[in-house]
Amino acid sequence: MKKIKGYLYILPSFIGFMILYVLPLIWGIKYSFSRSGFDNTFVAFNNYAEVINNEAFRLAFLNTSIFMVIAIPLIIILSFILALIIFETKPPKILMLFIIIPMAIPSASVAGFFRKVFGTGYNNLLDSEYAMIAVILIFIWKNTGYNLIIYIVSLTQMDKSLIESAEINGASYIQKLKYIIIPLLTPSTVFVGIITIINSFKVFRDVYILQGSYPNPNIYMLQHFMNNKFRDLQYEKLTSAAYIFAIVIFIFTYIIFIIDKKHYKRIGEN
Amino acid sequence: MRKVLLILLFLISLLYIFPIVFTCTNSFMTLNQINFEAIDIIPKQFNLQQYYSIALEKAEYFKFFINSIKLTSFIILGQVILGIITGFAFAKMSFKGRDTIFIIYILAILLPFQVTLVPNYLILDKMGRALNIQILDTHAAIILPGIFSSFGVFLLRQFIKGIPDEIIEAARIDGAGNIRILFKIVIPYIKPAVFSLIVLTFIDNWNLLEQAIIFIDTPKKLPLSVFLEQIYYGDKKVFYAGAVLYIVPALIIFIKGEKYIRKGLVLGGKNDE
Repeated sequence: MKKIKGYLYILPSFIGFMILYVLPLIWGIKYSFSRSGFDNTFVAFNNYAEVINNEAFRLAFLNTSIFMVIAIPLIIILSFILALIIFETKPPKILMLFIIIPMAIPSASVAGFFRKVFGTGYNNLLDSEYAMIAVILIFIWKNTGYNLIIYIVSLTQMDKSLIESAEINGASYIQKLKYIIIPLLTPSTVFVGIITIINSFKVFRDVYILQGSYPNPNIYMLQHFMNNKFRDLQYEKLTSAAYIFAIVIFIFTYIIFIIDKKHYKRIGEN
Repeated sequence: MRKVLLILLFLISLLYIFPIVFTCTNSFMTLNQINFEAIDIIPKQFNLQQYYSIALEKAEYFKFFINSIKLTSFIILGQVILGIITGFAFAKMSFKGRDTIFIIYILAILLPFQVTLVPNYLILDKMGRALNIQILDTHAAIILPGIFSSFGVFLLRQFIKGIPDEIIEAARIDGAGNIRILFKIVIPYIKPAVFSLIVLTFIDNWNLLEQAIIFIDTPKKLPLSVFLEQIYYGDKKVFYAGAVLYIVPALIIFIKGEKYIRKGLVLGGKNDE
């Protein structure tokens, strides 16, 4: 009896979660192997091959990768440095509040500002080949808050005795950083990394609000590709693209976890 | 050194707050000044015209505002209720397959909306047909996936896990059942976590856009985010006032709940397995 009760408690959530997330994802696999959303003929990996060879998909994939490879490390490093500065200087609280507030601001409300800064004049950034810079800046502006909060709390909860003993032994600040603070904060960095990956998908909102469904090709993201395929009712292409996307994300996340595991091993050895 | 860093931090924080200040001060400007090319943050004269115009000529703005409030509050309500019950089961009850199911819940958080989008759309379409009700193009199409997303369960489970087992065991020995334990021990204990979930869910859904552009066809059912974007092109003279009114609820909830977010984000990252 005791064993069954647990199932009863998770049941409402589990049913909804299965129906709305898990089953459709599995069901979508069928689509990705069908001729079209309306014709179930099995076509093996044709859709996947077509998607991979599709120029728009390649462009979207490339842009999304460029965005993630640049923006994710950049925002992690920036928030780490900002957290260190805040931790060491104990500034007035309002300064930190200013930096984290953008996370609460809806994208559409600041679009006026970003259009004015990045999108006016003849040589505006949003229409140039460097438009990605604007997207990365907006992303950093909006998402530093999450990372900063995580880093600051972990810094304050850090085991002070290690740092004190290092100070007694005459370690420089850089040495302390390299041998104590950064290794101690690795678990937080993993978490920050995952939060950042999740948030990085939401950058589509900002691009969409600034430039609609067909933006400057330099910032045409995977999400644009999918939305547009959706509008054309090409479910089979869309689901294939979605699974390719999902696989890439899981590989990304897996790499982060591997780094995390290695880190624990190293700590274990020392 | 400290002074230099403080000044640097001060300048950086100004950069972060600037877009918001700009939006705010522009809401007190006339259209002439807004359209001026340079980035201007001081109104030539303090002017409430934009706010008057929105109230008098653009009253439909408030309908969209209410749409956003409706979507956000239903999602929050569902996330909290399901999060507490399910999180409790995952944290403190034992049953076969518990951890496996929980891992699936975590993996689902990682999936971006773009991946679940079409499957979601198709299933809502099928559900609607099977039950003979319309789901697509109604707010339910946004609310249902919002309620059942696994984030709330994950977050609250992490907190409930932190309740010492002895407290729960003691209550069991005193004859308390699960429901009593849930109400007398778990809910009071995780109040900060619930606030943290409310604030984080609010921030995310107040800003929601992707779901709306896919699931909603009828213009008047759209959330404020999409409507505000249309205002920018159609009635720019009220855009900034509309933007400020859109920001205000988010800002109030954020500033009131900031300390809870801190708790939420930190516990979310704790690995206890």
